[in-house]
Amino acid sequence: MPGLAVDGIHTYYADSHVLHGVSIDVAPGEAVALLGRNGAGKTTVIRSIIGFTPPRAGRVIWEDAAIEGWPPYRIARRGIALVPQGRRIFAPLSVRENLTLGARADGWSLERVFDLFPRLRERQAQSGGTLSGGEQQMLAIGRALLTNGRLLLLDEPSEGLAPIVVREIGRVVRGLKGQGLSILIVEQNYHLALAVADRVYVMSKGQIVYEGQPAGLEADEDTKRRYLGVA
Amino acid sequence: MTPAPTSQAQARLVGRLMAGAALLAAVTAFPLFAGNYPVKLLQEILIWGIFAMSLDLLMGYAGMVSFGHSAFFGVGGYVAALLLAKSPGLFTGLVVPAAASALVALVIGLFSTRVSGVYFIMLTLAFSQMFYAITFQASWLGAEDGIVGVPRPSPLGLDLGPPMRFHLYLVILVALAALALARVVRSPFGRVLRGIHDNEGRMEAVGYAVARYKLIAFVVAGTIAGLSGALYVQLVGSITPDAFLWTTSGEALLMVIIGGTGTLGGAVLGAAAFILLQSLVSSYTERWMLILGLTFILFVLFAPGGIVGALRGRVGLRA
Amino acid sequence: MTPPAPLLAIDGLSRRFGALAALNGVSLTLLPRERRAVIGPNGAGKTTLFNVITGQLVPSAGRVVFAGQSLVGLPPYAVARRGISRSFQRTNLFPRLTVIENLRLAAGADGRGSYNLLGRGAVRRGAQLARAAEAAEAVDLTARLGDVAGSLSYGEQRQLEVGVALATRPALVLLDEPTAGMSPEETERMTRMLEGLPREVTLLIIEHDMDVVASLADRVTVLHYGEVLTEGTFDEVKADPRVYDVYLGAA
Repeated sequence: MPGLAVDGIHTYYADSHVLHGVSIDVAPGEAVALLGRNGAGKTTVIRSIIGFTPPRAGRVIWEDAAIEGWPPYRIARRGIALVPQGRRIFAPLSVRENLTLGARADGWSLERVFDLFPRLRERQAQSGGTLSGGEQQMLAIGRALLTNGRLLLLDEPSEGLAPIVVREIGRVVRGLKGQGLSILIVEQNYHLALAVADRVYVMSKGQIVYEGQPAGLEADEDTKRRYLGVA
Repeated sequence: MTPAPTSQAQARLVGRLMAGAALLAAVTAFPLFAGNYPVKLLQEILIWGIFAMSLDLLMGYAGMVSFGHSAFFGVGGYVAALLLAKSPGLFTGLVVPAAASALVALVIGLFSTRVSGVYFIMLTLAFSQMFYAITFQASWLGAEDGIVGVPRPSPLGLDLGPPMRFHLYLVILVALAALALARVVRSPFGRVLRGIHDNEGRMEAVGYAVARYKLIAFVVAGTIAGLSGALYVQLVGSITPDAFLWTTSGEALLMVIIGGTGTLGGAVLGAAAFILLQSLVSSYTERWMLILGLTFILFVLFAPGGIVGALRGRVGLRA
Repeated sequence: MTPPAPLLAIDGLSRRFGALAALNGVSLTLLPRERRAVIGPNGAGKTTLFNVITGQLVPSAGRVVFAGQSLVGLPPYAVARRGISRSFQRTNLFPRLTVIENLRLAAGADGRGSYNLLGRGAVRRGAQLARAAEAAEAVDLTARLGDVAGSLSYGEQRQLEVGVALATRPALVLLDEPTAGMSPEETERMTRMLEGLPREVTLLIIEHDMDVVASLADRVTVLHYGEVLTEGTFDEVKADPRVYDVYLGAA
């Protein structure tokens, strides 16, 4: 069965039990948002999927393979592409080098990424560390696209970016939806997430506390206030 | 926080003191039953032992890996050589060389302790090689031949010519230096150093002026190293620029690591291992450095705690 | 009756990193014995604020006055000596030392007697030890005094993290996400522990867990993109629609 199925995972940081039985699905071509405040465990879910902090219990199924416990490079090769929190682009390398480093054939090409992000084409010889936050975010997305994966994991792409740049990122991610990619976006920024997602989950203290359609969450003031606002 | 000593701990302490006393006695009495060459080896071990011990204070306790410790060894040696030729006494033979090394350590330390890690290694190395370059060129210091014919000091009018007398003099000074270092390590200052080694940032955040402590440690280590240099020149009667060479620093580093970093006593064991290995192997082959290198690699791979670490593991004591 | 003098007075504080203003004209006043939470979404400048107060960063503009004296330009160890202590978001202990040794190191940080190279420090040892034991009790670690810090559970390490900050007997403690990474049970324990701290110690806490903020804070300051959005009691802040908007991301 294609797509991603995270099934009841429990993840720990050392002996601290951080995820308590989290289950999430992403169907092929679907864009799913995972919302919640800082400390809710959203990034831990991403880390559990990509293999940085493997779950101690539960399963992560990707395209029929149980990938929990696999080393991250193997998971990446299986078609999961990560856009990490904080961008984590390779500062000493040029834009071009950043993009082509993990590039794999078929589908996304350097030219196609430059079409999507003309500013990166302009700056292709510049070193990654000299780009602005927004440009680095585009670079990180481009880098992930070039691995030609089928699932894109976006970990807080809006973090540290000005509102106008956040809107731009939202536009780009929306544009990626029709291209056969599955997308799992983890966000604190509710509006960005809803602009992009077909379905949303809300997390709090290591558990899923809401699952549903964006319109449903938008109408649910209680849930929004309690888990996304201050209380 | 040490709890009141149990009888078992007391027995261990008494055992250790007795072992230490026995060792000291054996070392002191050595010239009485051994020939000249073994005695000289032992004396070299003692001198290099405290040189390495002073480096261990920096490396093992303060966490400052220095590759320029030879600077102080050389300064102590050269100052002693120059002054003893004029007036052989304890002041010229020990006090002034140690003070000179302390001063040099203060200056080098002011620059070096501002940085850490690789940069600290590079700076300390650079300073020591500056001294090498200067002494190598300076004709008034004997250039590459150095200074020869250095007389032994006459402490309190005593002539140190007779071998047993010099041996006693050396053992006393080395023991004092070792005791001083041991005391420093157990002192409140020493505890702060260990905190800095473990987590410099947190030490600063709770209120310790970390840079100051590092500088003091650097000066203490440099002073003892200078003392060892002065003793060395009194032992062999000469000194060359090689005392400043980076290999001198490197050998001390090897001794500390082989003996066990952060143990103090290990430095002497490392010095013994190094010097005995050198002596033993070089009588069979010119390639004793190869053997030493292999030994070092084996230690790092299989006994990273050095000789002391390996012994403690065997006896089952807490490392 | 004259109002009490502020313990910490921050006025127009700014800190730039190139073109980015991580802090932009932040003003904040803490009274003695107050417990203040600083909240705000990512990038709000909360940790930068802490770093400027403790002297790890120099402000680009503005004043930081503690007990009537300016802190600007002082190195971190000097700020600590004035009576401000800090715990870190990423646990920052002395892993090879035992719990009591961790606390003793902090307790001895005023410098007097630590330059003693040859002594055993028996005279000050008693006072240091007493302070360390007090701090251990305040953070519920009296049962673990002899255990090596690295062997503690994550939650216990976070407790020790706060303990080390307390052992210097500060007037003000800056707690940076004390419950970061904790499970609900550990968070509960930490909250109760923090609630039980002596009131003489003023607290300034960065937190994301709103239950913790609700339990602990007298007042809450909300930061957004380096500026103070609003300030008030937890209930006031909770009801403020601007705060809600800012958290949901509409800028």
